Amino acid sequence: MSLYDDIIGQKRQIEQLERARRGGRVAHAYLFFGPAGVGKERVALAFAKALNCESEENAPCGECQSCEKIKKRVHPDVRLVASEQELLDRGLIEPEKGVRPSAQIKNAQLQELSDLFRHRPYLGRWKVVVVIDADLMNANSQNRFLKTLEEPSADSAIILVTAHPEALLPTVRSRCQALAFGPLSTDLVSEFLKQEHALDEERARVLAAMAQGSLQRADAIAKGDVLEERDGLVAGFSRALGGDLADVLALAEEYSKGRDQAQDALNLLEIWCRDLLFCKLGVSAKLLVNQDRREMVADQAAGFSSRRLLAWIESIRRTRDGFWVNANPKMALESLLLGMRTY
Amino acid sequence: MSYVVLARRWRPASFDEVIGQEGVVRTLKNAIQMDRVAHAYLFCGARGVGKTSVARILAKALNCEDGPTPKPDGSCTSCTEITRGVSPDVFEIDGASNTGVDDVRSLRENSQYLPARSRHKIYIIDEVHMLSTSAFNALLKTLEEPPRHVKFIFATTEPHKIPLTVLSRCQRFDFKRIPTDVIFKRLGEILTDEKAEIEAGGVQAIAREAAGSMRDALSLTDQVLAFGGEKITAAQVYAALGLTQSGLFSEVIQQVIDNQPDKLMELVKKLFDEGHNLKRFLEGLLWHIRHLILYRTLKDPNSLISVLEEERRCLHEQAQHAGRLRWHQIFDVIARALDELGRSPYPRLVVETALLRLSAIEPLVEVDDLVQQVQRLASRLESGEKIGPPRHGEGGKPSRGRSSPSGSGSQEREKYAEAFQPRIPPQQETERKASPQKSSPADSRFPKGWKDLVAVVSKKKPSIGSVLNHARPLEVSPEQVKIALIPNSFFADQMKNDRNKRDLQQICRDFFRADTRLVIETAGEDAGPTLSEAREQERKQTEDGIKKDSTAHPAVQEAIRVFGAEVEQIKISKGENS
Repeated sequence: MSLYDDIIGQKRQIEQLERARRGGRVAHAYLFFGPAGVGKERVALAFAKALNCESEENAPCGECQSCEKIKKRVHPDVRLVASEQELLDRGLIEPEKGVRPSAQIKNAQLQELSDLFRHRPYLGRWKVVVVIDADLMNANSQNRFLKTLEEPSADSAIILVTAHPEALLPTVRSRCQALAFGPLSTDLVSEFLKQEHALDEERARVLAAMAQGSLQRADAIAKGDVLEERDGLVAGFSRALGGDLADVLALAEEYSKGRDQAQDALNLLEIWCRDLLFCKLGVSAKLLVNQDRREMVADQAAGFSSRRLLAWIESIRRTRDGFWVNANPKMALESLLLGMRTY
Repeated sequence: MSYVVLARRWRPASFDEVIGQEGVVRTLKNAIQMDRVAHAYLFCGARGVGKTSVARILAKALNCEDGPTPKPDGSCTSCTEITRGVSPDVFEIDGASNTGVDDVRSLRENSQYLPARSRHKIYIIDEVHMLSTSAFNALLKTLEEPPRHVKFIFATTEPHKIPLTVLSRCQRFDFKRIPTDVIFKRLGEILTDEKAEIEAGGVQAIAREAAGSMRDALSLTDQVLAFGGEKITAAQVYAALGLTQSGLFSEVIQQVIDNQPDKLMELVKKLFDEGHNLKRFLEGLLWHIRHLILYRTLKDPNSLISVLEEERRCLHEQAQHAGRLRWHQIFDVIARALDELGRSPYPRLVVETALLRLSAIEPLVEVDDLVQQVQRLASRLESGEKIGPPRHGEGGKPSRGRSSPSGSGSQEREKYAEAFQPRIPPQQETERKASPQKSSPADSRFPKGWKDLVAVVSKKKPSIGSVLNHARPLEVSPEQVKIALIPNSFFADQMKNDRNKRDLQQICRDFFRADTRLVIETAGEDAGPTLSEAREQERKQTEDGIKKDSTAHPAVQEAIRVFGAEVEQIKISKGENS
């Protein structure tokens, strides 16, 4: 039983890395990219363990001294680099009073690696550096990293992990072997939800579809009452569309208590409208996200043209984008809903 | 011992091994041969095209024990030291890590001393664009007149970040992106040497993905070799690189053209469940559409599209399935989706809606087609005028039949022709003689040449021009221009002025190049419309149209419903009116 078996999905990527390892073709720099919450970091850490594992057959075994040490983050040859903010969120560093943790990966953090690259591995066979959210290196740090990235000392592997590869310099990307990670299939996610959160079949399927391939998101929404929230939102939305202005204002008021709440509401609404559009265009009902509310979707879809639904989806996205530039949630929602009423 | 990636193992070690940079290499070789090596070089170009490699080769060529020679032997102490990066006289400096002015100062002090063993002290500064401004400035004097034994080689991907004062002190070489077929050929050679086999389609895909960079190409090859066994198929290459097979793009596009939303969504589901990276998928799709556009637009786009022969035929065939404009429309929607993908928490939804949008929107009509249609119409109208009397003979209002939208082509044109007819029936047919001037677009309400004449007058004498705008032309011919003004009006008074009369007569004569007589009468409205009246009427008609349309607009209707309102006033702003 190897640790790889605990990872959900991404079998192709693991296979690719394993072949390289067994064939003695491990590259000195990898770029793992793909959507958030699909297991990039898990694979990276498992690979780091595999490279240093004492077990021949079963690497990474998770039981040998090396694997243990990596798990406890005390292995001298395996380092994890992340922004202070991230490290703090994971409880890996203590918060310092009066100092705001940096959201970026600092130059100094990369500098600290240089001693690692100066000597041979202490314990294991490989020195492995995993950079979490590599896009948090600014242009300056990335440039400084170039030389190391191109020709690190022997027996080193640097793994950059990111959901935003476009934020990395082309010169950085070109020095790495890029491994694309994709979303997890709905089946895998719903299986996960059933096991981890003890959900029934139908609920698991709907939540899995809402998670859109991200385990992280699935985990987060399984903890709340997202389906009930959706029902409330859809009911309010229907009222706002058909009723008078007071309903619109009430709905906007209800969902604008914070930016996150407004954003979550917009996400649910986008998925709902996408289902309406699917229904309108005669796409098979199997593909709906809101499986549990098929009749309602069909009912509502009948009332609107596909163009209008497309326009809605577009404005929902625009409204959500507005939050990037600090739009006022309440006003943004009001204006969105009023727009949707007219067209 | 750890594995050394192909990109490092196959770093060119001599000028002859450098590919795709013939100009640069030849110049450098000649410079060495003729002993004209400059003291400072700047190598610019995209990532992975050979800047650092050429810099190292140049260093070897200059310091080789048999040198300076364009063909360093690679086996002498100096050459091996440079290869291993331990030469005491060749300093490869990471510009990004040594950005400060102090770094440059120590470099400057250092450079004064003679080289330890070799002929030259060579400073290779990579990523030189990261030096700070003061660091650059500290370097200027040394860079202009370095000690005889010192050579500088700078390499950068971003030459625009380098101060002009530095640029002007260096010989600059721009490294080109390496053409796909050159990469393709080189990969073939390397693979043979590595005793690995990859199907041609796969190698092509690697070369294309590399986008002009040899290092990228070799990184990708490594990845593929690590993935596959003995003989690697094209499909395996696509899988290893996370690319979508081009067959799938054709399929997607075909279903967009055939308007099959359900099948499209099944496809997206498949892509999603198989764990495809959707961003890569959209990028690939965009390239596919780009190829289609080229095939639809250009006579011979083959040199611009690097795909295998078989795929070429498919592309060519598919490109004919839709018009140029439709392809552009599809391209725009996908390009926008790609932009959205980065911001959206749901990449799949972005892909889905983009594809559904494509099947939901109607294909655009080519503007060229519209123009042609209008031209045909116009010529029909013009010829129609010559043949028969104008349509005001039909009596009262021309009938405006809108009943048959699905009528045949000629019926359709009839409909357009009616729409183009002036809505006010002309009052009278004025006698016309051929005028030497070209006439403006036919308007049967006015004698031929009248509008042109008024235009000319307005230009020369604006005050008289405004009078003519309110005058009714009774006769306009080279012999006589006869106009009527409202009795006792301001305009009639104006024309009582002898000077104005004389000026107008002169302009008329110039206009017709004849001895034109000017007759000014007074008459009421029954003598036909004036230009300004006609314009006013037209404006009113368009305004009425706009008002009607805007009142019927769903938003307005909704507002009326919600507020129980009445439309009190409709204002038309200038922008909308035009």
